[in-house]
Amino acid sequence: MKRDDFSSLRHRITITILIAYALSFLFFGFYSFFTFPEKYFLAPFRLRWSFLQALVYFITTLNPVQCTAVLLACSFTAPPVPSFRTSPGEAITKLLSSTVVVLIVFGALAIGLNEGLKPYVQANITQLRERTTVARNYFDLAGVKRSEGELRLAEAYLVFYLTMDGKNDSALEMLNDIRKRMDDADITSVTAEPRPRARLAELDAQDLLEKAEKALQAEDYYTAYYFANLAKEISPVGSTNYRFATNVTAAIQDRLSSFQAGAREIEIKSIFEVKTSAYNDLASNDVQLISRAYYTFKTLTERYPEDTEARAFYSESVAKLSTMAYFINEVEDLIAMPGLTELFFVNASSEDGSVEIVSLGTLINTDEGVYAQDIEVVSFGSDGSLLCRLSAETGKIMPGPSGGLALYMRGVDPFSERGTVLPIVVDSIDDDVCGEILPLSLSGLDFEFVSHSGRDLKSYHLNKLYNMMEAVANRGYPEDVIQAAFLARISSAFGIIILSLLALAVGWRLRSPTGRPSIGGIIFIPSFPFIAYFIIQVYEYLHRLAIGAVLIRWDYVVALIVLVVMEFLLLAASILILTTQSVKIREPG
Amino acid sequence: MLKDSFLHPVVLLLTFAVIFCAVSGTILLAQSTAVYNPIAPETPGWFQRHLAPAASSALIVSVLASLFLLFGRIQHKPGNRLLSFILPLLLSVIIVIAGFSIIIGPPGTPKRVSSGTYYPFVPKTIHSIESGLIYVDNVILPTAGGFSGDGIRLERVVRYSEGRLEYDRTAAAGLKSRGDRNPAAIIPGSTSLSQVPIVPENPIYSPMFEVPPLLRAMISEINLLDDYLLSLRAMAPESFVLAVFSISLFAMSCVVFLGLTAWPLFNALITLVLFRTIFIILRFFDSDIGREVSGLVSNQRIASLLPAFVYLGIGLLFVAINLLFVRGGSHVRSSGGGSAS
Repeated sequence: MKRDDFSSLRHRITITILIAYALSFLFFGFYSFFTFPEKYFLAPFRLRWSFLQALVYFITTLNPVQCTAVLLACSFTAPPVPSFRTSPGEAITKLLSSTVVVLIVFGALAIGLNEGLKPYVQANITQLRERTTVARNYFDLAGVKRSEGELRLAEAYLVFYLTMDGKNDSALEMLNDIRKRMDDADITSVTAEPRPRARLAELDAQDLLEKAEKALQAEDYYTAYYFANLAKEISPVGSTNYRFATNVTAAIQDRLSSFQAGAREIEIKSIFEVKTSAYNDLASNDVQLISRAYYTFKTLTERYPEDTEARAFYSESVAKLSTMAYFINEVEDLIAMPGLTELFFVNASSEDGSVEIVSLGTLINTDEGVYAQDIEVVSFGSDGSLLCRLSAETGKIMPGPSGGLALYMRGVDPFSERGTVLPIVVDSIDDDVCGEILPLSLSGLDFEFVSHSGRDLKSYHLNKLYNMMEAVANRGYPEDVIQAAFLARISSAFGIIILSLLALAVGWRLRSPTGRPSIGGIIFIPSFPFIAYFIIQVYEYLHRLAIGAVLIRWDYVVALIVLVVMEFLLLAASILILTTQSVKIREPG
Repeated sequence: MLKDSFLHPVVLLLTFAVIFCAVSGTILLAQSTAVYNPIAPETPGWFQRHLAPAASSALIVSVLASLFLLFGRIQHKPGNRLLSFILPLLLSVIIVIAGFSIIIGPPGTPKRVSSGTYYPFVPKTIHSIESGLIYVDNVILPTAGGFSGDGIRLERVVRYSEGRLEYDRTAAAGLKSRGDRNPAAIIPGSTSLSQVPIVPENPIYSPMFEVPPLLRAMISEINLLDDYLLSLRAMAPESFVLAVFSISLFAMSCVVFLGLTAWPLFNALITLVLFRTIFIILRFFDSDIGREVSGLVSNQRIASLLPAFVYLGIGLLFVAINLLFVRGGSHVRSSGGGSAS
């Protein structure tokens, strides 16, 4: 064969692969465009989604497409012209060396796209889906707020929605309706709608009177005076609570004024006493006391806005409480946020046999923090006895008291002490076993691994998959499965080169003597990638089976060695098959 | 020329031996990994019990694959046209008939293994089953635990399904024979909980060894053919011989398509598609319409042979085409040895 023939074959293979890639991408582009799932994505995302999804399909099917291209390129190679200076052995060696480089380059490209670009593209698709979820949830919220008469909020939600789906008729219609209603209504009354952060502390006269009575019993007259006075102020004149509070304050005043100053002085003294008590609460590490301090300082700042000391302590109480609980208004809109779902893991297990299992319905990462919803915890001792079983609607993940992360399940209502949300203890061996703070043994990345989407091993970068091997083992998931997935990824990287070489050999062996396909054959060309896809599926399954069998019976290292040896043997075999191909001419039929 | 014709059966036999060993080995490996549990004791005699069924499943597909590969040689070295057709055909018939006799035994012997149990859980592990996730803290096997019973005992089972946790202090999982149709189930210790079917049957390693859907479909088709031949063998040995001959004739007659066009790759593809037709025809007769068609024939024995008659008819048609329309000598005129597979 002449040198030109090999060069021509190399070019032919390169061009055929590039054409096959282009056709494949075009095909998947059209396919994606016409199979756009409107259920999960907003209409304006159609083009972007189609492009990204086509990329995913394209990268996933690179191997069969490349094998088909090589097969066809070789199959349509014109009959080689024998050269007097080149023996058949030399000729095939030249054929091999001239084409193998091309195959390795394309193989490396495929591996790069699979391991580098594909996870990135998939992450982008997930992001589009999450944005759709958020937008649609805000759209629904807008509808709810409109029906509740909170037009300003409904408008804000809709404007947010329209930033993503600006041509949505029903959204535009709803927005017009809201704006019309806002114009019609008294704007000031609309703007005067109480905003959550502008709300005052919700005090309960009965509750305050109980506190006053308690303080009276403890002969803490100043504190009792403060609460009774507060109850008197918020109770309607003439009501039972009002009368009772008046009696209490009058009695205290009588008792104290006999040896002290007047009512104003008593009030100042009582405020001082309450502040001192709240400050002591704030200085403690008990979340209940800090919570009490928070409500006290909040009331004081509202009643005595000029009191800078109360304001400073109020801020401090908010800051301190935020590290030990979450405020329930933080999680009001969580439903609109996408996140990880169905997290299930072994949180802690000790050598004595006690185990703690945790499930989280969703885990949502927002600007304000990481929140978990639908929390359930089961822990049991070595004898099988249930130590604790609790559930909580919401929790916030923050740095724990003893390092690491912890799930804080106390929800503090910023306006009312009665609105505090605590985890529900379903069953417990002891009162102290079930706490409202659950120390977590997971780090940030581990949450993804134990979630529903995280259990899809195909979606990971190779290095992430490698990191996952150790991370999941301690969470109750079988390490072998991750190791097998990791080894399978290595094997498929070799596979693309091995199978391309085999395709080269088969294509060369079954090449058309005329260098052209038969007329009938042209019709069947589109079926080649499907057949190649099936063969590759079988090839990869057999690999998984062989490597998996070694892995589960022996060890990861042994499996890795077997894999590497096997791949090199297959590579050598495919090259050997290629070198045994004939370069002799066959006459056209 | 004549030497080539006599060498074809030898090559067929060797090719068959290699493919048969590879396919049987793969089936055995797949079966052993499917039931593998690191904590469970190795069942004595597992290999001996599973070897025959695996070999039986591998037999017919290995013969067909060997014939397909032999076509490359027949095209390359055609030899005597008649002998090159008849000798491999007869050998393939002999291999199947003798193979079933050696592997399965006399007609009527059941092929499938009905004995043997497996253990679907490992301790301190989360298993993924169809209805959710399940954590099992401890597994006590009947042998190791010293209790007798037909199940394994599970301790401290936590199930996560549809966003809800279920805790069961003790549960049991029925030991399961692989031949049984219904899945094994977890029997809860508490009456307030319901039984949970264990699907997939061995959830420990099932994600690792998941069979691709296309291959699974193909395996079921191969099993269908295998079962068809075995049922005929049990019913009437002569019907079985006829069916084996028909299938082999159909497969062997496909050789005519290797010279269909001047493009060998396309010819090979067409031949492969025709080989696939063997399974499609049988699947048709296994479908509702196929059963209705078979039902038109009152004689039960003839009805069961309908697929074989179809194979025979198509095979004879291809042979006729070969004799009438394909020129004598080689399928491909070769110069200097040719290069067909």
